[in-house]
Amino acid sequence: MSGTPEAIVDLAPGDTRLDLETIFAAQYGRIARVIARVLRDPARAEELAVEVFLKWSRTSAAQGLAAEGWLYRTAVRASLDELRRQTRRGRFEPLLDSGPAPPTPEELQSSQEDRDRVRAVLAALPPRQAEMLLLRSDGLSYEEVASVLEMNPSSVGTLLSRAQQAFRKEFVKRYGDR
Amino acid sequence: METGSDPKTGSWVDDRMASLNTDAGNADAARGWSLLQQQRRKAAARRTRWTWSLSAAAAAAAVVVLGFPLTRAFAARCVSACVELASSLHTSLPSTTRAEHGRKLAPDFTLADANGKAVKLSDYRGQVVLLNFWATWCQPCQREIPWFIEFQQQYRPHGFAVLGVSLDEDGWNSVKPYIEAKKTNYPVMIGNDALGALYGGIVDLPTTLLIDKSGHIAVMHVGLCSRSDYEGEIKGLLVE
Repeated sequence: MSGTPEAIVDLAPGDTRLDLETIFAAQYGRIARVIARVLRDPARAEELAVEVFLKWSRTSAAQGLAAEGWLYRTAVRASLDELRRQTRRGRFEPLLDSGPAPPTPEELQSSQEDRDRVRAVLAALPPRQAEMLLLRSDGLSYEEVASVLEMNPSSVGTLLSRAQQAFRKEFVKRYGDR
Repeated sequence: METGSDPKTGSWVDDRMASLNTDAGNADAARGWSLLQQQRRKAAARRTRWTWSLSAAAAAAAVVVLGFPLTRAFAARCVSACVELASSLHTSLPSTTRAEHGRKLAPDFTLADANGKAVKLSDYRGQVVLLNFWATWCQPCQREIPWFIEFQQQYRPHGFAVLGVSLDEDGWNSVKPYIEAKKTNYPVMIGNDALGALYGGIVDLPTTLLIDKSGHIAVMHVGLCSRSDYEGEIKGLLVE
């Protein structure tokens, strides 16, 4: 890009573009963060966040007041689906690769290992339980979790507790109680 | 509320879930928006390709069926449906020449062409300008470019100019070889989302505007348009 546009003169903008732009400006940071917590690859997380907004722009039921909850729900589901896909692919890749890729310095750190373990457990849990854990750990209240996942608010506490137990059980089974 | 869980389980899980926070850095909204615009353009180009393929396949099937008298009426309906489908590609924005008093001023811009020469839209006042937003990966755009080369050749002496703005993400890397191969005889520049936003957000490619001699937008075509439509509109604007 060698030059820059000079003067802005009024031109009727497309309606949907404006709507998308507004919601994107307001929510992109949160949505991208939710996805980045689940996926290890930042570039893929960014791509997925953009896909969520594109899908929103094509979904009439998601417009208006329902937008925020829809975006949150779709982002969590899309990221967990991607995580499960990556986990499945990971099972077969060692058979196809000529050898394991050398670990990066970051991968050598135990904190990265911790994150990978948490992700592996989330990928193994029933989707609804993984969604609840992710939303709750992102700072949402019970009421907000219920609203995003379209659940009865009175059952969030019980279901969240079950999800936590399931998470711990799966984690301990795989990695021990550390 | 009944939970039935070890009270420590909640904090045990929270501790582990908190480890994910370190991977959630600050998202770059500007880069995200640019990525979103690119994906929208590609999706629009894919839709156009599919519609053309579908329309062509249906037309071919109808031609086969026309050979049999009993199915001829059915085939005739298929053909008219195909024509309608194809004409829908001339899409959503008004494509007829707007009356002079209802036209809006085309946002001005200055961009460098392939030779690094600055091209300023307002320098073309007094001429009819065909401003074409395109990309090398956009199939319909490639159909139009030979027409624009001919228009430039034929109507330039009468006060007409074509300006091409490519929205290829990798800029001149893709565009330079392409315009050299096509031997374009008009200035081609590299645009961006900021320029697209000035024109109301260029989502579908090709998007082509015809700008009158006073610098106002007379026609806006989104999607592929027929050569004869362009030619008729150019001639009309030249005699205004």
